[in-house]
Amino acid sequence: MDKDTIKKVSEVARLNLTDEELTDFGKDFDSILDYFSKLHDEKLKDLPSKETASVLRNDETSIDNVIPEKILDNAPEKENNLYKVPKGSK
Amino acid sequence: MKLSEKVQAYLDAINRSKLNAFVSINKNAENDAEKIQRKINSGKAGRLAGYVFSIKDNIAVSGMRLTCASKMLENYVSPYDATVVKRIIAEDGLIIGKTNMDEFACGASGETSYFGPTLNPHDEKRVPGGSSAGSAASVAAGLCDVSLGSDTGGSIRCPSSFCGVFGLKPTYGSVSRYGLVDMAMSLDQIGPITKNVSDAALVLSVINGSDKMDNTVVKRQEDYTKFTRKNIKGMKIGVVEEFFDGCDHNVEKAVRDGIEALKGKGAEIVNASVPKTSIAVPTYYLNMFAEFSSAMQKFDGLKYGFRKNGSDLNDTVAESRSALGEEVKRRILLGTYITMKEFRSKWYSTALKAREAIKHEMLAALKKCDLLTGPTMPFTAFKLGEKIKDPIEMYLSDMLTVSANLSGLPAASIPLNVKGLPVGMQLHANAGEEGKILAAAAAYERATK
Repeated sequence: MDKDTIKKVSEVARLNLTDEELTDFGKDFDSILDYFSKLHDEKLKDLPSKETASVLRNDETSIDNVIPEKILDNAPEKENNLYKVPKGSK
Repeated sequence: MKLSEKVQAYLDAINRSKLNAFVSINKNAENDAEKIQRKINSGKAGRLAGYVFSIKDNIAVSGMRLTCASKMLENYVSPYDATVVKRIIAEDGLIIGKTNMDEFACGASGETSYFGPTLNPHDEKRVPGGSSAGSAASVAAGLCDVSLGSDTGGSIRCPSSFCGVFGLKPTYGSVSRYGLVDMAMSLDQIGPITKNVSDAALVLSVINGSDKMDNTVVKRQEDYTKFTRKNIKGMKIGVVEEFFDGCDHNVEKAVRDGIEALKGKGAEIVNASVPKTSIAVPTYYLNMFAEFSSAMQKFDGLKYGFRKNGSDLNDTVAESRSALGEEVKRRILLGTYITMKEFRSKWYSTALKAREAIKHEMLAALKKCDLLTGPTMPFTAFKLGEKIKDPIEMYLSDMLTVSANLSGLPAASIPLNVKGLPVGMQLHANAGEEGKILAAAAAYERATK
């Protein structure tokens, strides 16, 4: 897998990779996908996929004893009980 | 012995242990012990009173850290209990701590943890197996009574096999995953790791059954404790010859002896076949990669977890995700790649088809018998560092465990009576038939005692 493809994949996956990582993963992926391509030699019939029954529940909030403050305690940055994040565009 | 004394003895043993099996210890363990002891004294204690649990660190215990053995969640504290934890506490089980694991369950050796590898209690130069490494090691080393692990492609059974303990992956959809950090939603199940079969039956009886927080769990709670006393006379056990392909000689011998012991207890041994075992590894990994890369999107450093600020929002997300380890990144990248529009039909769609084909074969084999058997792992515990540099070698370790997950079936690893490094024998059953596995495993236990 060439560097450009991995670079593109890493952008889709939101991972900033170092040059070394790009090279190393490229080599890995070639050998992994090469091994996995044995799947393409297999005769695979189109078997009907038995979908599991859809079990829907009422759209009710159910947060038990979870208090918002406890959840917000895990925030890397917060302000006035709100998450604080960097701005969306440069 | 009083529960508080037992807990103190475990805490001391954990402190002395060099296995690196625990990531966090419950600071309230002594208080919890006293509370439960008072209930025991007044005759009002639940079914798990007296049991000391360790919990894999991808399962939420309110007020304790939930790290998934990753730098990403190093300081994350669970705001609530997983359903399984809630049920254990309701029956007066005591939680002593959270166990080390492969980072986000990515590994078969216990070596990819941000907190360093867990060691095998039988030989500290060897891996305990993964990804529920600390769970199996903590039970095997006597650092707790029982543990909860999670199993997406063998993560309960592999370390159980390597550490010489009993580990059960229940049927998909029988135990709630609410509060479990998902790895691959269509494959994950929580299950017990124990020193004996009856403890596993008891724990499963407490944690299984419908939960409004997990819509895949629809069946009412069932009691499994009765199965461990069941006679297995006439039970049909299919020996899957493909499960022995490429497996170490000593493992094969131990498992064939185990099968003889079951025969001695009255089981009828028949031949069975699952030819598609040869494509189980690529099928599993492609399915898992796709689901895993999607599951990992939530770790963006915005609402919780590690944050490293970048030039804007997107860059902050991508920089924050640098906290993830090598194997985690490898799987996210591969999962992203195989589900991209250009490559999806070649990889992911083929993998979905192959999954159905494997499930079809497993179910066909189970039509002719009650249980399918073979080794859990093709070899015994390998040395630390032996496979970590070679992803394909590591993935191939899962050859015999992934088919159960791909098919949604229950499967267990039973520790065999061997000298030297532990060997596990695997038993698969039809969906919902954990009882048959427990009956056969208990019969083996009685035969070898």
